[in-house]
Amino acid sequence: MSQRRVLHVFEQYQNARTQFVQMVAELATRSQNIETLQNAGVISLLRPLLLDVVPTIQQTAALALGRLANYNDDLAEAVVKGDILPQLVYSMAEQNRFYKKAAAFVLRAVGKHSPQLAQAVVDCGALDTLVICLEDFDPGVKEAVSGALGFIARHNAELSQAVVDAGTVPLLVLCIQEPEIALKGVAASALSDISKHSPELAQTVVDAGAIAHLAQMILNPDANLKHQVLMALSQIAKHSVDLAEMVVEAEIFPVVLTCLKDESDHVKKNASTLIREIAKHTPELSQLIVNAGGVAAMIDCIGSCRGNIRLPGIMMLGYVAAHSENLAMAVIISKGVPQLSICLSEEPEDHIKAAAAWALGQIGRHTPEHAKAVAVTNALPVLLSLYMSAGSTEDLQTKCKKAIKNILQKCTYLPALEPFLYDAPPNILKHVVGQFSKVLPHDSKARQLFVTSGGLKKVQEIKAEPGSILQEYINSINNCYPEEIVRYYSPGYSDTLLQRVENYQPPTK
Amino acid sequence: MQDCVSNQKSLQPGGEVAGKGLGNIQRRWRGYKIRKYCFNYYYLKNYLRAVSETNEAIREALDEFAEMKAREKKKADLEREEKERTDRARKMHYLLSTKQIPGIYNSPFRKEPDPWEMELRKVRLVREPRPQVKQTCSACPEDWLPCPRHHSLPQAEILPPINRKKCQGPFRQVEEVLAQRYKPMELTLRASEPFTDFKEEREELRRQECACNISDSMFLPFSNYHKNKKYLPLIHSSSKYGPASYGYQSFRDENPRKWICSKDFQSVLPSFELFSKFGKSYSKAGQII
Repeated sequence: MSQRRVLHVFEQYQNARTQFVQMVAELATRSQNIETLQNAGVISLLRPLLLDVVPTIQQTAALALGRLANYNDDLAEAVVKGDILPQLVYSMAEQNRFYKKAAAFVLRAVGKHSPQLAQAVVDCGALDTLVICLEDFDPGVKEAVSGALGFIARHNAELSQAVVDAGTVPLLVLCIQEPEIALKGVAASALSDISKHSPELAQTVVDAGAIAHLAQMILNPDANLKHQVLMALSQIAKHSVDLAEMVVEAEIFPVVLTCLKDESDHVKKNASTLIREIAKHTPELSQLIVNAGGVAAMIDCIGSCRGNIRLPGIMMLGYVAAHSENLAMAVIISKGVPQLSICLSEEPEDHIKAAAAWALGQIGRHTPEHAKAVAVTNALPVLLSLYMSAGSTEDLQTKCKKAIKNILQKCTYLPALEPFLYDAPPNILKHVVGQFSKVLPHDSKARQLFVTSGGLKKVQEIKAEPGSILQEYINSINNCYPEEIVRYYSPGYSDTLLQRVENYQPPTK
Repeated sequence: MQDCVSNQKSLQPGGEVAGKGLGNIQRRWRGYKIRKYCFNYYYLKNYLRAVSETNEAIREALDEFAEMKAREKKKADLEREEKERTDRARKMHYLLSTKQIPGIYNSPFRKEPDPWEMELRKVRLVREPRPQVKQTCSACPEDWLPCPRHHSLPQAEILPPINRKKCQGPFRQVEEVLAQRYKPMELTLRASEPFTDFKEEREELRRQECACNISDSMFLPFSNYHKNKKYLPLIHSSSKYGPASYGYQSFRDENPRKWICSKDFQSVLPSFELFSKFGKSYSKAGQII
């Protein structure tokens, strides 16, 4: 009987500890409790409980620590300073899967805040243990560990290199082949975090054979997984032509185009990003995308969404059009220009407008045909007003100016140019008048129209420095017309006429 | 081309004119080459037509794909809704009208019963399986740590039946009898705690210590103070611990070859059955109370 009583004491003590860690773990889920918990010295109290004899108490203590560290970087730093990480790492390899999961959660929560904290996690030798746990049988453990590795690798190239050096990449590639959807997603995200920093790291991921497996998962119905996979592929493809070609060789076209029609905005955005990263490298890759119908799909996608989601798509159109005039023509015949003009006028954010202006400039800068295609969608006045508007950012203004300049220098479509004579600032007016001076000498109908629409009159009113380029342009326009008509439209002509009337001596008989 | 060549032939004699003809040929050839190989208008036109055709095809295919997805989603939504409806009807099945009494959805003052009544009629009641009573773990002391419940108060999974009629006669209270009948099994101390308990506990403790030890180096609080002193162990702790051999070998000799099995017998004291049942049953010292 006395043995039972002894055990009863232990049982009571154990109940109290269990209750304590459970309550702390629960309280840590609400942000308003965090400060109180921190002031009560919760971290130093939880630390010994990590070494408790009872596994459930250990796990719950680790969970509570993870939640606390997840909340802000102060607490994460407190966890690091409390020397908790070595304990966790040490006991992680030998404990059961629940403890491994909880410990990986703590490491993730600490490592996610800043490169310094992630470095602290690496310094306490966590990577080797995490790699061992990545070989665990339980998918939940693998998921937690992959998440922790991803958060560590996310910060910079050195940390990412450390993660790679620990030998994680082949194991992560194995993880994306597991049947569990959540595990696949987290592993794909970790791979994308690793490969985003440098071409070498991306090459390591490619060498482990990740691309083929990632490409297979594009058709998976799960939106989150698709989003992570597309992200990983775009992070790999962005570095160099070779890597982009390897991604393309995995036959992602035209499968990836279906993702542009997806319901989830994340998937749309990442699919657009992937296509953009591939298109930006070479004309050949852009051509491949055009031939697969990627441009049309992208234009539809831009039309179906708003805001930041359409940004990569807009940029992709710009990149494709920038490579060559044939590709720019392909964008035009896919009805890309009207869509870009819509983006330019209806998007509220300046950086998206800037991207659209840039893309339009890239499309219109090749030949007069291209410039006309842009000009007929009425994009030029919008560009001009954005350039003139005081509310636009500097970046937007320079992009608009460049686009206007690019388009105007090729534009021979005079009806679109004419409004510019009236409301353009001098630095743009120069190009407009220049275009007129090039076209008018060869086109008699245009000369006539130019006079009747009042263009000639406007040109005479322009004050140009004698000897400047603008003055030269004006002179060459004036040379296309008989002198009388030029004089007729010059300002002050009525006065000179009157003067002549005054001076005129009628012949007396 | 042809006439140009003939032109050149005809103009062969004059040097000046020949140069002019040569320029003519080169100009023509350059134009021909550019149009044929570098910038072939018809080729470009065909290419652009092909691109726009592909675009159309892709647009159609993608639209179809999106439509299919939307249809699938709609179907899944409908199915889910239907299931929810059925579940709700199943829960409210008791509101169905009977032969005698109309239910609340079947008001006699209205011409037609509520559509929900039809829904209730359609649904088939499924009896839910009784929740399985969990098998309590063996009360082995090794696993009392992770699950403290087993050593706390016994929880009655099956509630005793109620509304039993009280029997006439000099019987005990029904509750008392039921409590006695349904009380969980209590093992005797001898059965619940094996003899090797102590050993196993110690082994377990050693394992835990091994696993949870952070650093292998000993904790040395005043390392500087004792740095130069050589540690001299006590005789008591350095000499071998054990019984003195005197008299042991000769007086209590035993011959292992005569043992019938390799293991030694363990001497165990019998427990007093009666004590462990004290106050828990109706009998007291063998007599019914």
